Amino acid sequence: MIGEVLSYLYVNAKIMAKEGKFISSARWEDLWGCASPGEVASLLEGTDYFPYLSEKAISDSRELEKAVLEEFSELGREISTIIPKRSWPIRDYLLRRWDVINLRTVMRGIHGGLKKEEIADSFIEGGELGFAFLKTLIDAEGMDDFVALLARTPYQSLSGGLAKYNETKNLFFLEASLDKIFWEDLWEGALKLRGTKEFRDFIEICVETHNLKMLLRAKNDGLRLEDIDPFLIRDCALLNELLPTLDEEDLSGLISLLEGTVYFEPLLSAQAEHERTGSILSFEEVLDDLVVKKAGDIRKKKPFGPGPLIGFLVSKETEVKNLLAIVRSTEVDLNRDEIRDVVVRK
Amino acid sequence: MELSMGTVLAIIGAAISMGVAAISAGVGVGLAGVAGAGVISEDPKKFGPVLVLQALPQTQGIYGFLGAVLILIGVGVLGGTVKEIPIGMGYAALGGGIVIALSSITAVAQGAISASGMGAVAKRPETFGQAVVLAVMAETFAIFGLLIAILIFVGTKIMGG
Repeated sequence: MIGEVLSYLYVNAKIMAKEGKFISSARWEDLWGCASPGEVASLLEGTDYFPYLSEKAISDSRELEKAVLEEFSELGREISTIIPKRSWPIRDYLLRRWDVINLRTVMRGIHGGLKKEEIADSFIEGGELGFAFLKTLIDAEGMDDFVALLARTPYQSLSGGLAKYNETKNLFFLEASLDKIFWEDLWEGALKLRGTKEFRDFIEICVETHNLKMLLRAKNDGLRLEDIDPFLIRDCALLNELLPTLDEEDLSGLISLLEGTVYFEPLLSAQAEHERTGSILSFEEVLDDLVVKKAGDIRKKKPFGPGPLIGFLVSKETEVKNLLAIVRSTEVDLNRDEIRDVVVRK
Repeated sequence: MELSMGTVLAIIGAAISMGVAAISAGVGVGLAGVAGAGVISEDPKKFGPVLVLQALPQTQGIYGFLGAVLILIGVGVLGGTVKEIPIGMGYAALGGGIVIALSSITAVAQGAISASGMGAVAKRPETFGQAVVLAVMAETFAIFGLLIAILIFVGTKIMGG
């Protein structure tokens, strides 16, 4: 225990200093008042994002988005070099997420028939798959070819979602497969960790929320369990408790089955919004909020060791999501307060 | 030169006082220093508050040094004429040295508190005062230890005898 505390002293002090540079409440107010990428960019002066802004970012919201993501990616790489070696699943969490983001970019590009240059321009450096390899993926003739090119990478089991994609031409199935690979590999790594219980607890709630999102989507879209089975992470106690009666329940029944868990009350409160819109977005939001809350709780309970790092990473991700929402909102001609109410995360 | 058993015990007390206090203060300063490096790598302007917090665990080392010097003066090692002191007085000097040594271990905890305080100051500079107060709390027990050692030295005439 003492060893763990000592090995995280440097990391935790560094990340607390980074937290001191988070965007302040007053600056958020100003940012929400911005009508163009240039205004947003000028307000980012003095933050960690500013050095990543190029000339183009002042007039192009996509370039500005990319700059924000590049800062986040660089932060992940920096932290991955200073965390203790025995915490390497955290390193996977920091680095492989960028592989997932880049692979998703390629999949969307192939699916939407985008130009190769457009896809390549959207890549964010930071993952374990090199840029050269990612560029070979852009040359794929189609989705079958793309998945075949992933053989001998950790993403080779993406072929599990390919059949469903080819059948429905719905990209959701491939994206769900990609998320499953990411979380399942992390979960396996976290289970092998000795002593770093905090990270295991964090990944556990991520795995559970992944499975719940799948189940809620299935119930909402009238899919059967066998349709979403390839996208569920099986090594999950919560899922295994739900499975026996799952096919008999509708969406409300599924939520009732969660009574006694941390998920029940938030999902129940989101049900009215779901009934109004028919979208499972309200459920996904409360599940994401639970992940943020869990990270905060881990941090409070374990102020030494990897607790603060987990709290920081989730807070930083929330900041990046909010910033991206502001950048994107400059592109659309909608009431900004409404956008803010819907997208802002706390 | 032959030393009496009492004098040898007193010198051992001085050695323990300084030795253990040096290790404890070193570990405490080391812990705070590691965290300080993390803060400065992000924000070099925080060097001032970081330095103050890092210096706090050093005081236990000073107490150990003070205790050792008092013993060495008491037995005449620092005065040029080594006294022949009774064995009982030697044990008392040893006891005083051990009290200072054990209470100086608080420097390790103080180092950990200072390290956390540095993080807090890095995040919110206005918390510097509170961070110092929290770290100083651990110091209290080292001061008590030094006071008890001085009372032992005075009471047994090692000091002022």
